[in-house]
Amino acid sequence: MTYPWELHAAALVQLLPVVGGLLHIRGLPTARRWFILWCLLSAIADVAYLIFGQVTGQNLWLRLVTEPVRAAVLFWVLSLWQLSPHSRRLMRQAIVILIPAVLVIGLLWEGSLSFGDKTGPIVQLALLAASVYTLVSRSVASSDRLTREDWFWITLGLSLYFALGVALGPVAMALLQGNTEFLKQVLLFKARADILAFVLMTIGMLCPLPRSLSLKPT
Amino acid sequence: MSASPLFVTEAYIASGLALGLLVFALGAALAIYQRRTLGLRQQLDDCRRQLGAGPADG
Repeated sequence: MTYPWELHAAALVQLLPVVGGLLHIRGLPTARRWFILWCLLSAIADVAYLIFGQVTGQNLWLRLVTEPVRAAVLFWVLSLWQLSPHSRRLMRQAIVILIPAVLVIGLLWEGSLSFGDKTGPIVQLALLAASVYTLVSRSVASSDRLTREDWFWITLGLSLYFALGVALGPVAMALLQGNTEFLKQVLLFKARADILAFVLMTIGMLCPLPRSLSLKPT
Repeated sequence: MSASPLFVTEAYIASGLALGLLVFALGAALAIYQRRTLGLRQQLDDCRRQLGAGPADG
C-alpha cells in the first residue's frame, strides 16, 4: 500500500520544531524542551503506525498507547506556560483525571479497532481549550510583541491542529463503513492542515530566547 | 437515516476551513490588540514622564 506524499510530509514536518529547538538547545526554556519531546513522540508514533500498518495491516490499537502519552506531555507543556498557579494546577490535574478516564473508556467501550471516535474528541477538545486559553490569557497579559513569543506561535499552531482533530475520529469512523475514497480526502485535508500547524509551531521554536528565561528555565 | 459520505466529507472540510480561518483571525486580533495596548502604554509612560519632569523643568 502506498501513501500520498501529504501523509509523509505531515509526519516529517513534526520534526521541524525539533530541528528549530536544536538550533539553540543551550539555555532552551523547559517548556520548549518538553514541546520537543511531544513533537518527537508524535513523529515516533507516526513511524510506528506506518510500520504496524505495513507489517500487520492493523495499527489502530496503537492509538490507545500513543494518544494518552502525547496528551499528558502536551498538558504538561501548556501547564509550564501558565501565568497563574491555579491554571497551572488545573492543566496538571487534567493529566491525572482525563488520561486514566480516556484509557478506561478506550479499553472498555471503544476497543482497539477504532479511530477513537469516542475518546478522540474528548482529549482533542480538552487540548484545544487548553491551547486557546493559553494563547488568549498569555496574549492579554504579555508586555512584549506577541510575534516574538514562542508560546504565541506554538499555541496558535496547536489550536489549528486540535480544531481540525476534534471531529476527525467520528468522521473517519463514519466514512470507514462506506467509500474509503472519502476517508482519504478527509485524511489528506487534515494532513495539509497539520503541515501548516507545525510550520507555525516551528516559528515559535525559532523565536529569540527571552533573556530571563534563557538563564533560568521556567 | 445516516448522512451520505460525500456530505460528511464536505462538512468536515468546510468546517475545518472555517475553524482554521477562525484560529488565524484570533491570532491576528490578539496581535493587533497587543500592539495597540503596547502603543497606549508607551504613550501613558511618556505622559507620566512629562508630567513628572514638568515641575522640575518649569
